[in-house]
Amino acid sequence: MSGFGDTSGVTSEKGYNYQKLVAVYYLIANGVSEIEYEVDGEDISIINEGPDRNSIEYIQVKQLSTGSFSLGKFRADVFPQLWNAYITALEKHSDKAILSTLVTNVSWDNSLRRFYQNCNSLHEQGISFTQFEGSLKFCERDYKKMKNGREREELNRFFWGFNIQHSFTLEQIQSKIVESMNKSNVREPRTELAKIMQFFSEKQQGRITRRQIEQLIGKDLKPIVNNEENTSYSKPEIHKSLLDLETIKTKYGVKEDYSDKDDLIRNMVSPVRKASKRFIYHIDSLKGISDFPLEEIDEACDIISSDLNRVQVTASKIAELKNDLWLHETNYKHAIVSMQQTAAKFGIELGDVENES
Amino acid sequence: MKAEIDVLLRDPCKKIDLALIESSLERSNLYNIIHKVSGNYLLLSDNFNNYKIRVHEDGRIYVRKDYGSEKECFDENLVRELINGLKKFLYTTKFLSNFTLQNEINFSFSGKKAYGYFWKKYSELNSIGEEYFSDHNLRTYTSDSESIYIKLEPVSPISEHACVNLFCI
Repeated sequence: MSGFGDTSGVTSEKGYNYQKLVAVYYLIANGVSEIEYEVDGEDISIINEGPDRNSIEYIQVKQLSTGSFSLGKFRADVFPQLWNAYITALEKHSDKAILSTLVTNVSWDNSLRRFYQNCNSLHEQGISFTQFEGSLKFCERDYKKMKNGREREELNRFFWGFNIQHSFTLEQIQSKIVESMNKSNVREPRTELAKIMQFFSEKQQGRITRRQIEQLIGKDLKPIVNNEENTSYSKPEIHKSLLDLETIKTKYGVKEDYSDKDDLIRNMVSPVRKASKRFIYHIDSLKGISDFPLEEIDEACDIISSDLNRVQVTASKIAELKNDLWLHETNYKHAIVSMQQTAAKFGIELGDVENES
Repeated sequence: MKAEIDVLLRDPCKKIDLALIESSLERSNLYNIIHKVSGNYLLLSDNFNNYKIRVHEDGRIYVRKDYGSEKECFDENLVRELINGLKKFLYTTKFLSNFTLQNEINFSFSGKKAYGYFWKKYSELNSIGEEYFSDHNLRTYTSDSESIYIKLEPVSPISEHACVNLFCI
């Protein structure tokens, strides 16, 4: 439909397989209870409605035979579909988290990577939407096209919820599905996977639930816990974390005493002001008694004055930032100390760590 | 599932005298002290509303509403309720006559409905930012899909006076 990807019959079928596999991956390995599977020309969208229907995620699956995924390609071939789905969701499900995801088998090029990192910072690292837009100078043209005629708040919410799944090859997805099936004690997982793929082909589109898959293979698929970390921890592991806390508190917490902003500015500027006066006095005194042309002497005095102005402006900014830094470093340290205090209250203390290590 | 508002002292070197807070609350029947850890924090419950307040000696104040089950929903007027809970505490303890708060208001929502609730309340949160700081930034910090921390702060520094009055009734 969009001229996206390969068009030959063989690779097209391969593309469908990839897209079907991603859908199966979401149901089996990603712990999703149901998906809406839509085929639109060459594109397949997966709508993953979260548990308890609190979130809705639109997933576009794109397989490329070669190359990397660029921001231009995303803007032209993925963004319009995701945006349409998002706008429909805004009308029907505005009180849900609306997420948009691109899944692809190839790597991302630098423009898409940087763009995605900025989207990620929007929800994870507290950058404001104004800062987000300001950071997109490197892809101004693409962003302008995506932004064109669209509401700012809607754009903010869309990019806030935009995600790209790490590049997954067909084989990687297959092995993750098989691994999940093995964990659920499914016998002959590859045969069962072929059965599921056949089921998807016959179904073509519509709602598919994990329960249906379970019935198809005659086996309950245990809910998969997505936590990467173990859920139980040994005493040394807990103590090791306390030691880590102490290390980062020393490294990143406040180190210097509070320096008064005005004092700091004064200390940074006064010697420069004093020097500038003396230099100007000296240079000015050369008028008429040296080989320097008058214009050059005047210019030199102007340069020194401009430099002094610059010093004053930057010193103010530095003092402001240092103050801010001091404030945040202090608050950072407080929060860690608070966590340590709580841990100590329950018998996890640094003394034990040092003894054990 | 829980929702929280938090503020902190502007000067991180200042400490909140928990004994003073405790004694100022003794005269009122508005709060009940659930727990105190001297040198660390004081946990209170509001006798007339279903939320808790935690005051840390290091300068942080949290007002929290807990929800038992994931099937419950955050209250429609929760954001205002938390602000009012904080205002009531600050007023009762005459907090602002002794301390100045940092120019920021933070909210956090945890639980499966957290993201959805955040977007449902996005405009209201921005109105609160507008109300307290005029030109403001709304920043979000997420680490998983079930909790979101929201910071409202002025774009440019606002006056000391505005700061003192941040939560005056």
